[in-house]
Amino acid sequence: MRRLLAWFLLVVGLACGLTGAALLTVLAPPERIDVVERVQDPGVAVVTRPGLAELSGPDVRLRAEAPDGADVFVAVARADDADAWLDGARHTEVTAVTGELSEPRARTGTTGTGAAADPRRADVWLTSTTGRGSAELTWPTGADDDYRDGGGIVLFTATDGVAAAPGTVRLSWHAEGRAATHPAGTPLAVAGGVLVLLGGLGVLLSPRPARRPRSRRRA
Amino acid sequence: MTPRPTRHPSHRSSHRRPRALAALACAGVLAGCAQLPTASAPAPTGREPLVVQPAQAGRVVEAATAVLQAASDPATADPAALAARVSGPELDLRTAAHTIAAAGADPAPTGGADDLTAITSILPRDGDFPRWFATVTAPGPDQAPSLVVLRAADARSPYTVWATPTLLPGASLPTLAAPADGVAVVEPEEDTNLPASPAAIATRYGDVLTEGTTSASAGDFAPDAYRAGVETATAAEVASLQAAGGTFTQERSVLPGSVLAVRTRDGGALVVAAYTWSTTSAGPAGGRPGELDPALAALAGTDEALEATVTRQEVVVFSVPPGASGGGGDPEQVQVVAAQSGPVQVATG
Repeated sequence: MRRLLAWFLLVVGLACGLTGAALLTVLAPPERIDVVERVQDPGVAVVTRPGLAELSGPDVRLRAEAPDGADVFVAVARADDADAWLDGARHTEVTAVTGELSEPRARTGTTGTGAAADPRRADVWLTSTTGRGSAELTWPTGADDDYRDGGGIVLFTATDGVAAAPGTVRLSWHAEGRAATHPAGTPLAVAGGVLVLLGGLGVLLSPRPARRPRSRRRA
Repeated sequence: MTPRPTRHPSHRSSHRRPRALAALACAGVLAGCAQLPTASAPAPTGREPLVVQPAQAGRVVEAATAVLQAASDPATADPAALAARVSGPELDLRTAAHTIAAAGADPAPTGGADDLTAITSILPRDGDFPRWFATVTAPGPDQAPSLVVLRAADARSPYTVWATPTLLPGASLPTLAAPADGVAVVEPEEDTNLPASPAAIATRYGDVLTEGTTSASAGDFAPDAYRAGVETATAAEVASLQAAGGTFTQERSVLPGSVLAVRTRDGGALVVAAYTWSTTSAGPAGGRPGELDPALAALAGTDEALEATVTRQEVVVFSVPPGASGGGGDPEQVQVVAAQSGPVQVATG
């Protein structure tokens, strides 16, 4: 009975250890959370909801692409300033990231009416960059708490504030915390190792059951 | 009829146990899987935000400085290009200086900044538009720092240099909070812990400039170099015209929307106000037209006139001491610490 239990521990331990190792290696989640949103009619700007920039990781990356090679403007602003700049103009807001970690999706909504103005003229942007056809910027989110006075931080993209905003917007975060590793991986690997050790010791130390003496066929 | 054999309870539970264990294992694995984080909106602080972050202010000043430096020579400056980053009294004064220089005359010093290198910023806490902030510049050739006031009409418009009054001899700016902390805005009509509201102080000083020592508010303000200069120039003009049998009249009003104020560290206020000052000098009736000063002639488009109305823009910065209005005791006087002025228009008759 003791030997059977030892074998059981050994088998269960191996299963746990292999599962844990797999979760930590080949089944580990991707290093980045990438969301690509393609909007047919985004209005004159695409802006994220406050709090979304800090979804994960020490920074957030925004890339926007316009299909016709137009000048693309990407920026980071305090939420209240971006609202003041939009001033009711038609725009798309990225409100959340949903779905599975392996296939996250953006949830969006379009509101407002009318056009705005060339965003490159304004001084409300904390940082900004412009590119032909596409533009990208990375914003470190570590100090975003300092901008709570202004409603938090939002990511923003537009073209010239009158024509349609970039139709393809990619948001990317470095996965951190529960998004970076399977929490069960390490406990399973450790528990598996302990069980294999105990099981192995049990198998080695348990006396083998005595064999029955063979009956002599030939007397 | 034989009774149907009943299944033993322990037999049934032994069938369910593996399923329960499997479900438990699945739940455990699922709970142990990595998950997509959820975003949460930042909690509001209930505090007004800085109009611009210090780094933003640096970039704005850099952009404005580039435009001003490109137009540093009044003779070649392009007023249209200036308008991209300059507005208000500063644009009027620089446009006038360009007109004067283009006519071959020398524009008189206005007391504007001669060096735009910012050494610190005054960043009000205000979430609404229009917004403003200021920088204190390094002393230039005139050996005096200036206060560069930048304003934005709305979120879609850039900050423009609105005024650059230079510190008067012996004056210093009151102590304000560090740029990163921001300074509280004092509304033009607010007189909390002040001898008078910023709007009232601006109006009273305008009266003092116009009426001189006969103004009822003359005692509210400490003597200053700008006021002394205006009084001297006005007295000379009056004396000259009276000797020739002419007349001199003047009118001064606070420029609408020009009163800006922030709280100083001692509880007082730093106030900025702009004035439009018109003086009309008329020769004796039936007399010969007098020769205009070359700078004024350039603005007027004529060398001689019997009557000339000169419109000037003035920007004045006040250091207002703390002290409730109507309080007892002898309150400290309001001190003018910086000023800028110059002619912007001349009409002849």
